[in-house]
Amino acid sequence: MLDERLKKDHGKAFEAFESFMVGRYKEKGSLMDILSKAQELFGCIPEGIVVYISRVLVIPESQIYGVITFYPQFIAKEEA
Amino acid sequence: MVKIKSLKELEELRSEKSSSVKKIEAKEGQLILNDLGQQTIDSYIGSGGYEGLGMAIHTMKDNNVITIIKSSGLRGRGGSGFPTGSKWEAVAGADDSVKYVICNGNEGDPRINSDEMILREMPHKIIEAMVIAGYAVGSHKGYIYLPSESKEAVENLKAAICEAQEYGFLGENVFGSDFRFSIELFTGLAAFVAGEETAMMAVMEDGRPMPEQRPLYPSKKGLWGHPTLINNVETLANIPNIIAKGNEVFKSVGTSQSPETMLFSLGGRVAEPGIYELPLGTTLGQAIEAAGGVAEGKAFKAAQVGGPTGAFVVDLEVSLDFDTLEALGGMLGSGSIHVLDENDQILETAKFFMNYIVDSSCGKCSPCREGTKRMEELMGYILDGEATETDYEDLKEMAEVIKETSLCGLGQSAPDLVLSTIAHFEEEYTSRLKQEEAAEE
Repeated sequence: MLDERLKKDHGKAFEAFESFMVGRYKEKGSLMDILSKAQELFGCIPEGIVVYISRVLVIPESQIYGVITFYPQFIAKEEA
Repeated sequence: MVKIKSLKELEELRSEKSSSVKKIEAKEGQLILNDLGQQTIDSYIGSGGYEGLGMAIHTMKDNNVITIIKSSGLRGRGGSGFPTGSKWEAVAGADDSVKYVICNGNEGDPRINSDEMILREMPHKIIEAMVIAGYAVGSHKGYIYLPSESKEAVENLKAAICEAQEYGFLGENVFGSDFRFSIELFTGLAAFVAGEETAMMAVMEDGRPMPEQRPLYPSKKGLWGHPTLINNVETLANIPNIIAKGNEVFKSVGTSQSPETMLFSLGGRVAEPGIYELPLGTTLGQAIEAAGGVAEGKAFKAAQVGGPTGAFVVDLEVSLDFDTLEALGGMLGSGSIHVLDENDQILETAKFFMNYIVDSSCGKCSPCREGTKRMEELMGYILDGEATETDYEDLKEMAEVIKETSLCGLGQSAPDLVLSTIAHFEEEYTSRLKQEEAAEE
């Protein structure tokens, strides 16, 4: 469900992100890397992507937002 | 590719490579900058690289290495000036099968880039130092933390790690022994507070860069709960020299309490801003002379030593070493010196840096989060001539309280800005207060 919606909304950018996330299930210490990639691909870090990251890494969304909002380099934005 | 297994093989390889090395003119008293431009392993080995590692692994026991580092008196170059040997000893003494070594390459201070320069220009020196550290404390895994903004340093380090693996300096059998060590890069984003060790580990554990309460120290419970050795880039850059050439050479250079040289970043109103390697114990005046003196022949007013949170120093005869500056209520920090000339306004400059600190505060502890903001506000009032004597007294008291109660070095050193400017330039504050009172009457 989530995958399909994200694919529809972001097209090629999501496909690139999906392949970047392959093999990262429960991977520790990679959040910074992943958020930088997402920021680069989408120009912001959309809500759906946060949910996606949270499911792959198995960490709470709140923790991800905690990191996103700390850095001015990351932009959290509602999906249009 | 042939893996190097002994000091003899290294010696042979060096004589083979040394012809291809472009010779850099060695300057008297320079220990780190003489190795500039040795990005490739060939040029590094050609000029004596990896000898320290070979000696450590083939001629020393792990505790011997620590003894040498301890007796060299090397102190951390990241800010606090903590004795490096004691740190290593604490990690070596921790009882855990998994230990980590982290190289702290987060600089934060936007005005200086000496750590980035070391990582970019001599990546192998850092790799060698980390393997030595790993060997000494019994760790098999190292991380180099650096901001992703320094792209060239990231590229050079990646290439250097591959090269070191090919030659057998990293991997399963380091230098032909049964010691294994691997290094991974961790790229974070530039953030001043992330230079604090516990905040850095929080980032590596997928969290916000927020410092932790101590104790427990990272040497007992660090990354993922395991004992962790964290050393600054410049600290590590000194290790190979100490092991290979012995510590007595270094003691002749600096003061007895802070031996060796240090990289000073001179900026602000100096004729030639840049990175200068000077012995510790050099006076402030000599350091400014090394950078060509105050720009345009103007008179010296003050210098901020030790980064954005550093104290202002007015005495040109002050010796630049850890203990002297600490006694003055400041810190040597990472060795940045920002020079102000006669035309600069002290209070404006101090407020500018306070603003930077407010932005950098992580917000975990309230003295720093609220206090730095309030100090900036009061400094603004004083600048605008709206402050009363009570405000000024409040500012002074607040600075003392924040210094004592903040969780990490950022909050603890931020008030130095206020306290040192009050100590040396009290009239800049009080003259503005008096004007305001006169207007009221």
